[in-house]
Amino acid sequence: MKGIVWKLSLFLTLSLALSLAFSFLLSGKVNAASDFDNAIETTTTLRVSNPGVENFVINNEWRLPASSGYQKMIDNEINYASGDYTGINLSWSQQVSENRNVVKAFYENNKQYIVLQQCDDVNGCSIQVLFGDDFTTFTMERYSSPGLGMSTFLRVTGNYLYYTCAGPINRGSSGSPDATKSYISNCFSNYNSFGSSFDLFLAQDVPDSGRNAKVYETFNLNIIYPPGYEGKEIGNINPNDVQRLKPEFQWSGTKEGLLNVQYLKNITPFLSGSFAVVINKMSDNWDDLEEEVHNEWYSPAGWLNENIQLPEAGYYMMRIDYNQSFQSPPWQEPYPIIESVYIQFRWDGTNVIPHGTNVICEAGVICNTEKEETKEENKWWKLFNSLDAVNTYGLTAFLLAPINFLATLPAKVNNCQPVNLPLLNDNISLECLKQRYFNWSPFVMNIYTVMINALVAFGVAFLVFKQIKDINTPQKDSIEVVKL
Amino acid sequence: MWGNIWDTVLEGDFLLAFFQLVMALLITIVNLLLFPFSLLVQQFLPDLNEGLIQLTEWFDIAGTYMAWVIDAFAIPGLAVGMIAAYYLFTFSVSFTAWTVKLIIKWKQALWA
Repeated sequence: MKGIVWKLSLFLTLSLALSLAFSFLLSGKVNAASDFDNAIETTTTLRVSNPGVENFVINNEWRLPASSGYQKMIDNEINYASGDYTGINLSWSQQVSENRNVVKAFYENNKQYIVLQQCDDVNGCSIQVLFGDDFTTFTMERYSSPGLGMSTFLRVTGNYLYYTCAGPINRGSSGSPDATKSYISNCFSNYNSFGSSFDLFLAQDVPDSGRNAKVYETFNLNIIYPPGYEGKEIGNINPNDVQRLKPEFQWSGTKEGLLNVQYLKNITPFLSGSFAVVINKMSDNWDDLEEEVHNEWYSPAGWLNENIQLPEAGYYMMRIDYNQSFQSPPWQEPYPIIESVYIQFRWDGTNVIPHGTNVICEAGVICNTEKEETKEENKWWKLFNSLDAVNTYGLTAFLLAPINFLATLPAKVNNCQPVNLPLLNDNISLECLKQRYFNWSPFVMNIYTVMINALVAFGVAFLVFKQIKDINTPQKDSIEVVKL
Repeated sequence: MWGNIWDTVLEGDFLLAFFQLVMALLITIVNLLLFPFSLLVQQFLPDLNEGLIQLTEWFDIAGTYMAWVIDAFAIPGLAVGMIAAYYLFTFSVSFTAWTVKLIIKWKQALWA
């Protein structure tokens, strides 16, 4: 009891100290940004921020003239209001000759979008939709290069999904909000990129006599959580981290020489449509395709529970195409995606080798029934992954933070991501090194890995045995009680 | 969460199921215990709630950097997994036991 209280107190104290340090570092970052602004030659800098007001409204529209008049844009009034508000509507639009470039950021129905429309004479128009998360910063940057004239860029930083819908669209319009919004739903059908920083070229103006000038506009949009998610951490919208159920299929061979393939679970919900099972006969070790031996479409009602006749023993590749409804972040409309599972297996005429294999195979990855288990199949990874998906927030998240930290650490180590040093220099990114070590000297690294694993296994075993011994040893108090 | 545990039992992996059960129990109990306080904090002290969320996010960020450092030292995932599993087990079991004791104490105090 005392131990737990002591540990919790230590955790609380450490957390507070860390948060103070973190706040201090963050404040340093803000100051650095201000210093950067001071270096701008053109003095027209507007920073929209109001730390005293939790929510604010920006409901305005600015138009960028073709060559000048940027000053006029920032003269517009900005309204702040706390409490209820209907949405944020930021617009920039500019028409330069035949080129139309429109940027819109708006907040509506608990959804935050930035819509970027770009048109040019060569490629036509395209719309790009950025679905924002957390605090997204928009920075409009306008600068000139000697001989190139004045250019305007929009820089978006923050976490977002980046959707693209190719044009041509609506070339006659300069991009009214209503006209643009109608394209959003179409854009959600696929995403092709994601990231944390994005530069959009908006326009290039006439040369400005070689003057180096920069103008920044920064808008911080405060996210409003969707109903039911107030205060909760909205999951990482990086597609790699989105929790998605992995479909499970089971197969077995029958004595009659049939392959039984059965869908088990986790493709939910099936949409109207179909899924297909394609089986190809491969050369030895699945190197080359020899012939297609099965290709059937199945209806959702029948699911998948089929006996398939395979012609002869050998190497096979099975592909299962399926529809899945994908909904993340939670306030986004679900949309169907079609994915494929690839499974390599060997058939000895009666059985899949090894016999009775259950396959949990991630879409897009080629799985093999005979190769060693993947990370996702490992039971401890499964545990860590399942814990990672637990929604906790507020006080609970705070109390369980160290446990959650421990639970997710192995997965993070295994999926090491390059880190950057935002407080020093945003451009410095430190790559993960372990793979590089292995490339340099796999022999040495294998020995090192075995040694570390053995050492840790020994240490953990020692600690476990010590704990068991401690449990079985009577405590001093109880001995004294017995003596009395 | 609970469905995963049942699936694991069906798969015959009782040790893993037990571990998942401990974690699920812990999270549920803590959620249950803190529900009224969480509600109060969210309603009347939104800044504190925000601060707590920021703290937990800090752990997430710290985890990313720590993972990079561990990777830089080429410490194998298996070793990290073993260490994490050991401490996860000891800490979560003791924390769960302490929480259950706390619930019993509260119950006795309320219904005494």
